[in-house]
Amino acid sequence: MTDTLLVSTRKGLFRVVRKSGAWEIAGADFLGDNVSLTLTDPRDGRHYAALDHGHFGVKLHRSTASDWEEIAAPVYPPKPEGYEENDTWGRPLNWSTARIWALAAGGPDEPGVIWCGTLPGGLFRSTDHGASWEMVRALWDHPKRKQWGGGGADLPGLHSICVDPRNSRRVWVAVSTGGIWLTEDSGASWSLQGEGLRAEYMPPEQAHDPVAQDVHCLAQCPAAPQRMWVQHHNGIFVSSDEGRTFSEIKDVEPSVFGFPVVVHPRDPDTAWFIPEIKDEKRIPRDGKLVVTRTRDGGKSFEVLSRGLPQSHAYDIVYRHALALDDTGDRLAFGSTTGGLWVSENQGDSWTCTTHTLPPIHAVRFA
Amino acid sequence: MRPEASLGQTRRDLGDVAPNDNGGGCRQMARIVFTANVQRHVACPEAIASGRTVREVLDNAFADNPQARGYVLDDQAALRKHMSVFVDGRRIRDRVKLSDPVTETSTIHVFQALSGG
Repeated sequence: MTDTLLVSTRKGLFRVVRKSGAWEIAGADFLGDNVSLTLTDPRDGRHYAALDHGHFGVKLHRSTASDWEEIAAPVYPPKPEGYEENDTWGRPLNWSTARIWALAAGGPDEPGVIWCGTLPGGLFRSTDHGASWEMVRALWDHPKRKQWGGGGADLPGLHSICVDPRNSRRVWVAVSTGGIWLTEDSGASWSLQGEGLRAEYMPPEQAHDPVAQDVHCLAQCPAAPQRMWVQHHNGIFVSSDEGRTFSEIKDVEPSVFGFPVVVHPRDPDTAWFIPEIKDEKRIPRDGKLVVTRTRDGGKSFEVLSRGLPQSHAYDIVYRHALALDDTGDRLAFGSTTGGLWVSENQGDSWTCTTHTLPPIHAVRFA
Repeated sequence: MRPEASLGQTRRDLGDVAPNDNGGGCRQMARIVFTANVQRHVACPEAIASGRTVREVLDNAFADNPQARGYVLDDQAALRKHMSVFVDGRRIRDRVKLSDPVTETSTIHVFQALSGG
């Protein structure tokens, strides 16, 4: 159990700690700067923070004993001379890191390995705690990669990375939009997963094309890795065969649209979501901010609202802004309007820590 | 829009700095001034470097300060969006290959637009 949250916001990284049973802001780093994501490496306790300086580009920092140090950021390889590639919208695709959108530690048997997902879709791997990065060329050069597209962002983005707890060489990644991909050899080769995912924004003949899927978030149960949950652009999906096939879960109140999903570390049937009305209207229904929870693999859902604002709440919760700790009891989430809520009882009730933070991009237990 | 530059007063005696970097041709050394805004993130002191184009000058300048390179140039070594480079007060035209010519008396200003909410 951890008593520290790292909250990445548009205007800095905030450290929120539990004291005498209450959570409070204990400090801020990079104040004024845009922090998009953090990772706490469970193998050595080091923290990583991704910054987006806009004009000055995307940077990566790693914690030291008392501070942070800038380390190498992933850099795309040189685009071959004369090679032309356009994005979904017909504009030249720049091979350059536009955002760090996923950070994941490798397995316990490969200390120093860090995976990093980016916009416009490149996956990078470090073997030296982020001191240097190498693009995973097999995925970038895969012919189907050119079918990845932009969705909410103009560029495709690799946002979810799941390292198989049974075998560190097996890694799943998810792309918005570009589906779910699996490597079984540490990135040397990749296969497209996700049969059964459905994209209602595509023409009927392409609706079930696995590469056309806008996966918003992919979560894997550590104790039962065959179970995966997907919050998709137009629905909730669950897999019981480690992502090869998915079933769609419909008729979830108040909606099936949202960005994040987390799954209980030991109970694969328990997962949490934060719904918005729908893709074309991304606000909580009726101004009521709620969390939904299933305890039976998606057969039924509870709507959790105790402690959450139930009037004129227009909070959006991004895909990395819902966190679950390793006990499976504590949850925390942060919103685009600067609200931060924590639950100590699996979401049965929530306490607002603050509602005045800058827009929140990511929440992680440290 | 012309950046203030009094080249004759601020240039160092280039003959003492890098006497043999001209490959036998005309010596090209330019002065490079970085925006103050970047200094909060990475030290970018004023520098002088040789080169006949903006690319060559910046490559040489960043050789001694590789961390700063990524703040000005993107992964393909093009000028980052919203960054601006001026050579003797004129905004460069080639933001991709940075082929704009530089003379041995040029001053290069590396600026950026400050925007956002």
